[in-house]
Amino acid sequence: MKLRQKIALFLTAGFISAVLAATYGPFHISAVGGEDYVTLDFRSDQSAEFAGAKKLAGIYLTPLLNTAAKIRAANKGDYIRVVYADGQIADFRIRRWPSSDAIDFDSLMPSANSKHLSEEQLDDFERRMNACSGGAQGAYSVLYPTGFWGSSVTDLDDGGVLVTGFWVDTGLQSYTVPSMIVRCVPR
Amino acid sequence: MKSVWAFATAALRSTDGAVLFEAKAGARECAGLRRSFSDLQNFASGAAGSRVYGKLTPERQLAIERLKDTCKEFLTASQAQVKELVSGLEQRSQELQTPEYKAQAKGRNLAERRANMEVLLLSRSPAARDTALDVLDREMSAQSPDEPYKPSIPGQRTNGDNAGLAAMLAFCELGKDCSERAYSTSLRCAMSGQCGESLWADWKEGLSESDVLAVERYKVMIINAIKSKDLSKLPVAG
Repeated sequence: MKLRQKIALFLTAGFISAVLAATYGPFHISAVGGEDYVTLDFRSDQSAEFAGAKKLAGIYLTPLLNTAAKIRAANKGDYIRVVYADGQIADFRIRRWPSSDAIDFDSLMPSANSKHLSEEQLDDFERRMNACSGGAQGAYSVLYPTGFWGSSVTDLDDGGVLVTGFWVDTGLQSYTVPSMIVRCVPR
Repeated sequence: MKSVWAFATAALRSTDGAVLFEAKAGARECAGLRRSFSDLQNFASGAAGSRVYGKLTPERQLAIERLKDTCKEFLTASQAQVKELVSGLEQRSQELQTPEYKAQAKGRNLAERRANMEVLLLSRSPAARDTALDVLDREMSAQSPDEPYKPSIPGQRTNGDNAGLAAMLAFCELGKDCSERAYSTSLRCAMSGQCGESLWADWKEGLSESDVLAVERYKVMIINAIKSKDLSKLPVAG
């Protein structure tokens, strides 16, 4: 198996752990509006410590996490999914609420909606794979509930904004992680 | 409210893991507030285009003023100065390999996870205790540690949900400032309009009577376990 194919499997395995928790969104960062975000892409947000994603999380999570019990449930490791202006999709784990530093970047999500990873990102994964210790992993299946929070935004007469959240249940899904033999490339 | 900047700057010379942890948590909070404070300020002044949710009330205006006072130096310092302070605290903790710093690592097995959880729960830093909440939550959820993590499903509560909520309440009685004027309480009030005498004044909302009783029972167990430094009293699995 070519290394790039192994990387694709690695990414898919990462996808599994991300969707075991509830995911809020996806939210389109370019949809927040204003000069700060129109041209934002993944790399620019990353260098600004994901300022755009954190601000967006603050806007959209606020009306949804409105009781102590909902806050506790979200803080257990739910995710907020962000779609950037350049089409890349990233997951951010909800780390603490209420907080002005509520989310941590977790992973880039490969999906039909996102662009393929850049050569630079693939090279980075390849370097990490090269540092592995090798081994074999048998195939196994996981069953997990899926869904996401959608939101609608309504401008109010008094100049405020009402964000309404709603849960969209996409049902239980089964995913089989294929067996993998990881070979290290000699340095 | 104390100045986070002064506390964090002084902590750069500290060798106390709890002080460093608390200072870093506070600095990260104020650094984060810096990103969104223009929205809060526009909201407080009634300016158009603010994306802060809900109506402006006197309580929210006061909360915004309290946040501004707590983090004032972060709001006026440059981005580079803020970043230097936050990363300096991280670096100091890493160099000293403080117990709280090391305990943030994911444990390779149950024994390591519990050992790390114990260090954080028994730390003098309320922020460190907050960090242990996720691990504590799982341990108290009556699941086998080898089972896949149960996701939060809207409308369904588990023993783990009640235990986690109980831990949040317990931490308020174990040193975390959850009063009306505390940073977290002010932030929740300013951001979402949920203002009250304490951070979790609304904790019973949405819970059944049996859930309320379960949360109160768990809370007492958690407080007793941590105060007596005997975590075997915690209702953990296995």
